[in-house]
Amino acid sequence: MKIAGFLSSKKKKTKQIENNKLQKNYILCGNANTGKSTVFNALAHANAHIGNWLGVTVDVETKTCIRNDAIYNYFDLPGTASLEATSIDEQNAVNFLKEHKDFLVVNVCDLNNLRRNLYLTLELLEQGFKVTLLLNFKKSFFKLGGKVNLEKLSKELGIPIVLFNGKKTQLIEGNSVHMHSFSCAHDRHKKIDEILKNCDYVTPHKAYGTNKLDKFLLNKFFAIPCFFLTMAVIFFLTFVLVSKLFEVPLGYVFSWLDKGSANGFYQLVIFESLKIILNFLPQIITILLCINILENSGYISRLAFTFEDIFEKFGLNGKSIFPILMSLGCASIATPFSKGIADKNIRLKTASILSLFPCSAKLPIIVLFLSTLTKTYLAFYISLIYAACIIIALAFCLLLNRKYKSEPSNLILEFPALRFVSFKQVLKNIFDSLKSLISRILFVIVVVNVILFCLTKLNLITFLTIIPFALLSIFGFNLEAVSALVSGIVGKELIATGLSNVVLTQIFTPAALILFLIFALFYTPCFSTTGLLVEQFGAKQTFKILGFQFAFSYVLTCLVALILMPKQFVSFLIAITVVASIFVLIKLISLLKLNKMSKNGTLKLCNQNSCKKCNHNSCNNR
Amino acid sequence: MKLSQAKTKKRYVIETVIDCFEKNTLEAMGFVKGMYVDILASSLLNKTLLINILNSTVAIKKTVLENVLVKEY
Repeated sequence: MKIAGFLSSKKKKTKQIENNKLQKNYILCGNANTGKSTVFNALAHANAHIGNWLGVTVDVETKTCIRNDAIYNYFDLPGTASLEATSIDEQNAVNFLKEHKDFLVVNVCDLNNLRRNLYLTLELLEQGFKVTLLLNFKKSFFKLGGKVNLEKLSKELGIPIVLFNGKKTQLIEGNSVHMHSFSCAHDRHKKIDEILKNCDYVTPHKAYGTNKLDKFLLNKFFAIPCFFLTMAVIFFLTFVLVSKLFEVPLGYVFSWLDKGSANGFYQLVIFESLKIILNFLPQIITILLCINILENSGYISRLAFTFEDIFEKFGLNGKSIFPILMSLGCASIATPFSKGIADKNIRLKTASILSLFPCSAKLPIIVLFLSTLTKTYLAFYISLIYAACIIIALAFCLLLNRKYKSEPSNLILEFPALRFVSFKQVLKNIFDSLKSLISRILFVIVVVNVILFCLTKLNLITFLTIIPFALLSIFGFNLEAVSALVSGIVGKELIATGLSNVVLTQIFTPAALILFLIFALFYTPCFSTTGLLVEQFGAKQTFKILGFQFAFSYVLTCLVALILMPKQFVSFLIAITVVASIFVLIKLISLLKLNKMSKNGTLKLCNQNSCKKCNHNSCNNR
Repeated sequence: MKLSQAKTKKRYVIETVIDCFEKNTLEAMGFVKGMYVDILASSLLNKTLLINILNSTVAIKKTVLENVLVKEY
């Protein structure tokens, strides 16, 4: 439906511009990690995200190019090993192919893995698709001693073949031979062997992915310490080295900004917000740089393997590491990556915990509050908060496990070869992430300030914050702090910018500062992440999870408050206990009533498994 | 024997892929009768194995491997 909408809107637009031009549609499909998005970017001059791990593309990416002779529509599909899909991203690809049988399919294959990649090609030819085979990674293939006769290969398959050559690649269209259907996978592989033998295919002598470094990165004893060492280096670079390097230059920029920000309250708000963003920009860039390096080197797939067993204990699976690591940059960017997980409940749990990890928008809050509390060992305390967030997110996952149970996952994961990172690609990825992050922040700051202005003029601001204030004032938060938290529902960066023009020590006691930090880190995801969750899991499921997350963060803050300020908090705790006891009493009375009714024979209780009333399966009374 | 029982650093040939949930994925990855499989390391971290198949390295769990029967080559 989404694609049909895109096509119709594109059709309307292009109709107005180029009325008589021919429409050409190209679908890029192939196994995961064969470089489809790289080919897509080169052919369509697009900016699709590229990484060296399986499942970088989870939805169909589209791009239209108007050239002299025709209008070209390019569609980049998620990777799939065959037309039998197991996860949502694979299903997206297979469904798209089946719905657009008349489009030209550009089957992107890795020359080093041709034997396996041709499986999908044969399936496409069996289904009657018009296919062009595009072979990628020719440099490493020929360098490592691989051989293939392309003319013979083209003849054997009955389709045109193109070697990928960067932006200069020209797609060749030709008629495809409709291949007869094979009865089983074994016959298909037999045919592939025959084709490869006839076209003198020699596999590269050095096996792919069996890098010596893997022996260390996947070692029983070194794998996990190696990961922690990597994270320690990232934190040292981000919070010690880069912070020190940019201290002086940023000081000059701030003094210059201070000179220009003296007029008017709202100008002051904008300037202060800009100062906060600028202050953390070097750290945000460093974190994005490190994540991109991990992503492009191929290490991230090794991490999925390393953490498979640990994550399984928390009801997740190894593939959850992809969105989790991305969420350190931005939770809304990371959420769609959970689509690569086949099990629905694991996918839901993974997507739900992403907003509990400290993303780059939460970084200003952490640093702002910690620097108010302490001036020494700041980097150490920040790292400690990151570690605490990970533990809390996993604890939250354990709670979700009670409701969303999942079977132990069956991990089948291909390792991409470890390779040197292309800095051009990394810089492009960082630029794209920063562009969307900064434009979002600026947009949110302007929009929220306009809304705040209108609400203040209409005297509605107190009305909006009255319920949150009643709930949160027990922690020692004043109206200004609660307003910052309310605006933080839109975007987490607004919490730090909302408190930018106040002295924190004047409105918070040290205990309240800690409680605010804890609550602000976990209470809800931002609007864009919520939207993505609704899109993936539906409104009902999402709001259930959000309610649970809010309650979880509230209880967590209460527990810390009990330790930090027991005297002030005891009365509140008594009140909570009284309310909870009333609820328990009501529940007990209703249970007793039910019991009495069942004894009288007025109510028949179900003995089967799953009924909405008694939690049993397949009950006839449902 | 089951692939999960195979020993490290040996070459095996697949006899059968028993019908299971992952059968299609396994078959698309090349786990079909007659294919050669190298076990790179069975003593790694956990119940997951690393297998060198069709020139690429695949990490796969022992539970899945119960559905792949092999014999030593």
